[in-house]
Amino acid sequence: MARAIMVSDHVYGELTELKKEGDSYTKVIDRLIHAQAKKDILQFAGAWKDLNKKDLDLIEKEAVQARKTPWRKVERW
Amino acid sequence: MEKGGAMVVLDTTFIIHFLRNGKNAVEKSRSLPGPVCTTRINVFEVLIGIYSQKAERQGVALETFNAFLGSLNVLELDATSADEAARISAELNKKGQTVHASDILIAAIALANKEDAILTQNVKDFSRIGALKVETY
Repeated sequence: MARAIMVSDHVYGELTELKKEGDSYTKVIDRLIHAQAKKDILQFAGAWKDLNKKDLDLIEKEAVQARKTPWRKVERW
Repeated sequence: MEKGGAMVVLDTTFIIHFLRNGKNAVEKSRSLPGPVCTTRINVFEVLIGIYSQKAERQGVALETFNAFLGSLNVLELDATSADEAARISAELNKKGQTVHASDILIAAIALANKEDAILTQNVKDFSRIGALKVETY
């Protein structure tokens, strides 16, 4: 069921600016609500700090390499 | 934030440095103005790193990474961002510039979602794409 709400011209303008192709205002508002509801990322600062340094170096190296060579040649099929 | 709801997009190396407790990344995260996001391309890159480890060593890293993903928004590659990426790529080609496909996809997803900026150490490549504000740490 849809409900009508009133917003100021200013808020209407901001919502319109945030609309993507094919978006409804409901979708924009829904996205904003969920974005605000997300938890603070700071609780995860250093979440990997107790992991083995060699393992972490490998994670970082392979992730960076994935960016540099996005289309890897398949050696064998 | 300048625009209501616009967020900073976290690049792959920032995510890894932040989870590793890298001083600059953690300090920067404290100054971020509000909710943050990343893209599915960045998630893909971090996962390549995690899955590159031996199977028995992937568990904790994977578990904490998935929990971390629950604290931010992950933007998907959709029709609008794919179109934006193609435009960016074609424009760069016309100028004779090359940027990695992943950089273009990440920037395009951010632009299609009207996000504020990309937080990255790869300032040089993202700056070539234009339109998107580039922040570093």
